[in-house]
Amino acid sequence: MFRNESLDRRDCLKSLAGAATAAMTMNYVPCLASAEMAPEPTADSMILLWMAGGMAHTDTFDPKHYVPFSPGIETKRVLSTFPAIDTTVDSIKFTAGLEEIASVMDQGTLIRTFTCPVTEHITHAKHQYHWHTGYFPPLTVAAPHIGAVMARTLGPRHPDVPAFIDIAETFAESARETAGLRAFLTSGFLGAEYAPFFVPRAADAVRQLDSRVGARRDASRMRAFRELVKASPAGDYVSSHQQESMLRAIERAEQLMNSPVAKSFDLSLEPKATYDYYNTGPFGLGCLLARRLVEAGARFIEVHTPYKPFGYWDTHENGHATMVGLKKLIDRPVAQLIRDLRDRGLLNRTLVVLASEFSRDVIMEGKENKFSEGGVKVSATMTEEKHYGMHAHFADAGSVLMWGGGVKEGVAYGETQNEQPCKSIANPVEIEDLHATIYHAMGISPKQAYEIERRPFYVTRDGVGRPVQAVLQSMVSG
Amino acid sequence: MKCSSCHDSFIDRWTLQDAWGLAAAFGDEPVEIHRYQTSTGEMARARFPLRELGDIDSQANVAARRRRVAELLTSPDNGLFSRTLVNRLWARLFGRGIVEPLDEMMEHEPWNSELLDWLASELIRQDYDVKQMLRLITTSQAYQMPAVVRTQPDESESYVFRGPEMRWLTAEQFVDSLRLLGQPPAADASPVRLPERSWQQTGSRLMTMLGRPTRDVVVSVRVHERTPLLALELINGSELEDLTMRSARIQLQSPDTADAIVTRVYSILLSRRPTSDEQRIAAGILGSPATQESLNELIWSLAMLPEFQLVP
Repeated sequence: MFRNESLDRRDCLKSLAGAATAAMTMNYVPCLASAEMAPEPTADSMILLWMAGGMAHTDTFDPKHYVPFSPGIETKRVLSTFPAIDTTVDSIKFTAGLEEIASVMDQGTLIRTFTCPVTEHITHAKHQYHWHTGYFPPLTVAAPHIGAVMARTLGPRHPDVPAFIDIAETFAESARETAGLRAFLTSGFLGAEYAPFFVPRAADAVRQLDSRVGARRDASRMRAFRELVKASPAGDYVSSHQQESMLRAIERAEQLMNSPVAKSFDLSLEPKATYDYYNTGPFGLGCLLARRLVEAGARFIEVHTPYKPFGYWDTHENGHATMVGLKKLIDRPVAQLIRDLRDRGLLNRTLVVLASEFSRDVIMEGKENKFSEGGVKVSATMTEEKHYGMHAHFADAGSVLMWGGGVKEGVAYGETQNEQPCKSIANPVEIEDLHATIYHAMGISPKQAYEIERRPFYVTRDGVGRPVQAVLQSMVSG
Repeated sequence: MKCSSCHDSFIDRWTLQDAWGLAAAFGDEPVEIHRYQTSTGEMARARFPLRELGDIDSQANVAARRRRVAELLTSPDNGLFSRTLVNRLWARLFGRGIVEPLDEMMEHEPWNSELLDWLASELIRQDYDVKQMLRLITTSQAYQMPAVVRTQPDESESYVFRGPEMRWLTAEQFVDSLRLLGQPPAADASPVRLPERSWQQTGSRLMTMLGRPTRDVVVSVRVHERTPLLALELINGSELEDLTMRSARIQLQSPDTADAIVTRVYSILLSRRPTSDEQRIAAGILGSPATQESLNELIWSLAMLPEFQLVP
């Protein structure tokens, strides 16, 4: 179903809000008329569960022939290092260790064939950037994260809840530029207004809003500040756009801190049993926080598993053993998030997506017939247990899970080969189409464009993205 | 050159051959010209985009070719180089360039071409001494005019100069000003210095929020927007709290009276003495005796003032 009025209330409010923002910020990027009408949204919020580092599909959501470890086994025979398990959908199997997520498979869609481009080096930085912006670096403009596109295009759902929230433990670890603040986690050329609100630690997220210095000190500080603003002789001559924008920003921040929705950042308000159930670590608590924020009115939330070179999903050795722990990290909280959203009646308007920048293979680096340089060296047989697992970056297939917000229930899409390499053999899905599918659910056309350097920038690369109809409940036009 | 790396530019004089010719001048290996993503089958010949300035010997080794690019780039005959440089210096000091936007030198007319030409010729005459140029500009009457607020469009053609524009402190200036306050005052009352400036250090969350870009993105013009998210970082972030707390502790270590400390804090942060009104309000904030916490409140409040964050 599509809107046929040229300017309905939502668009009108959006353009008014846009005009107000434009007046406030000098760097406002104009929106170009979309070539086609925005689709009717089937989701109001989105949660992206990011498996940072490269999640091997054949050891998670796309089981192949299981070969247990024994010294001297032929490497290329090892397709999965876990046995397959049943899910609540007869035709869909997962690998052992994901029993909880398997129990909510009937409510979501599995895409088995996410594929991505292979360049000379298949690297985390480039592919994470690519997944989050839809554009492959190097680029001539700073592309916005999909969350920033949603913040800009759809605006906040609740005036006091930041539209784009990013929950990532990585930020707490270090202030180093490359590790701490990755290039894709930005609003790019769209401007700081749409930048993510960072939550480094879900467990004490509330401290970011619940004044760090305490309510008493905060109140006295704000009083002192206001008095000094009034007394500043500069006030007489800098009473200006800039001065006002600073004061307005502080007021908005204070409003956020004092808003009832600030409580939604406080995980201590959850029943202990719930908290404990989600608490498999920072990621699990991030899922719990994401649920609370959706309830409060967030637009877009990303929850990351920590990203650390050669750590977490970046399994370059000991793949099997590491995978056991990773599954424990995600299985309970992801499944519980889906159940909680459903029980609260929120799942039908909340799109949850679980994804990773690429997959892994036991041998293959890159894609079949297109090897990536600099990959891991693999010997023909496995002599030690640390060799057992999926270790090489693989771009020819990868699993993406989607729930709620208008995606089909109990469906799998795409087919991967049952022998080495376990590549996509039917219905590959590239990032343009995956983003188009996500945007479609959120009510954004893949041809939505913003003007930068007097050229259009489309929210899917060059506007080419097409929603994958097979995974959507609503009809895609054309 | 961005546009012309895919096609002849529609808006300025650069051609596809110019862009790839420049790439070839820098390249270790021969490069083939690509139109968009498609190869044209034609190999790029090393050349400088302003061809009237001279040629590059495409047979020369890569070091010689790069040296030649540097020569042509900085040649006194290359008016674009000196104009671009002075335009950026002017923009730093006045909040906007003589040609604006800064990155579109070829596409926009200066609002005063005599001024731009004269500054560019001065730069050449001073043998590209940037400090001399800064001296020249900052000692001018134009620079010393009262600051104005930008209300005009971005393009230079319709701009009318009325004085320097108010602009935000950069992230590094913001942080360094506060770090200065956390240095023990020198016994002989000489100016306090920082052992290391924050531009020499890696970025941080606070600096990122204040507009410092990460190094993996090329940014020639920083964006300084005052968003609620930045305000939240300033109100609740641990970095600013640590900075102001440290400043308060160091300042309290001096034997000075509370009034003298207030005066010093004002002169370091705002480059002026407090008015009697401000002195009275500050005394109220500090209480008696002043504590690290109450002085921290004062320093934080001053750091939040638009007067602190804006450069006139």
